[in-house]
Amino acid sequence: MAVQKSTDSSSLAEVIDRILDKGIVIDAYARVSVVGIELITVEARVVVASVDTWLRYAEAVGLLRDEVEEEGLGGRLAEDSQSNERSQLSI
Amino acid sequence: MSEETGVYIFCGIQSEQETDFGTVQFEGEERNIFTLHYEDAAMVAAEVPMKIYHPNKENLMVHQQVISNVMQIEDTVIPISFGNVFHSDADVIKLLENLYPQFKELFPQIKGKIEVGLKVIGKKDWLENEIHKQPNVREKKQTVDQKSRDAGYFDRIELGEMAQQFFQSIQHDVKSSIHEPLTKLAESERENELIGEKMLLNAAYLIDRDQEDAFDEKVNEAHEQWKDKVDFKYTGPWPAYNFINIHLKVEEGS
Repeated sequence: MAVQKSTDSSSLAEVIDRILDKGIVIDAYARVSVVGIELITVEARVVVASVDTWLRYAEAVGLLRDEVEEEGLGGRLAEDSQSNERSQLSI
Repeated sequence: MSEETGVYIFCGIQSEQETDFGTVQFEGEERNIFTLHYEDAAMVAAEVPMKIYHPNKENLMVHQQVISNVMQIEDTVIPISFGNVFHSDADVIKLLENLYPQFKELFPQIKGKIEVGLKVIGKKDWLENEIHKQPNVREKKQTVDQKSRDAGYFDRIELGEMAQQFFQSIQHDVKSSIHEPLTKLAESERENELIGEKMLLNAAYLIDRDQEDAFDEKVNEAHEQWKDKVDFKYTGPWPAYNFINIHLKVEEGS
């Protein structure tokens, strides 16, 4: 086939596009001060759903922009924010 | 200080079985990749020095490579963003325990599914040719060329507006001719923001592994039809990054 998909290093931009602020994202602050934390506030906004029953939740706010070395990643900020389920727990 | 170790997490999976995913070369050191469990959920993790990992090319690719390897074996993978290191196994298990209600809901929805990405980018030559075919654009361009820079100010703005409309109409064509047929084969789809003017489509699709070949074929059919006009950037298989969005905030205990 003429067009073959891949996830190798030739698609670094695609990797960056995904792994910095999609999936399960943990706040920048957490990464710095993860040692000795006692409280986690979980702000779970979402999930997958099928086309017809799509649960539409908010897009996480862009994270870690200052640590991103590559350029041209900005612009993805919070969209429609709704339904924040918050729970507190101890570690 | 450099002696302190932490637990780096790559992704979540649905599994009750402790699994050894081999080793990974992380910042020059070989690290074992193992699983930490709660109920039927597990975190894929590695023990690493406790520090901040910078999102440089090498580190990012390691993260992605581990997830790709896990996806070869596991069919229910929940991606975790780059750079998360926890203090201990117990902390990770605690995190997993608290994420479990969401994992439980997610597992059946992403089981056996993968994400693929498609960006469609217009070829410069084709775009230029196309826009010059439009009579109103040609006419306006002539007006602009005849006037001095200052006098033609508003004409240039109008010309810009025409160009924008032109791009919107092409985006629309791409959507109905490429995106919509692909959507029919997908469980779900998501359109991301276009990056730059020449990008005409930036989409992610969640597809069943059984549909992967059919989807590849459909992408190629569309490419065959559009290849003189646009470039395709087709990527995957990814875990469902664009379809899972869980945002955690960690606060320091008082």
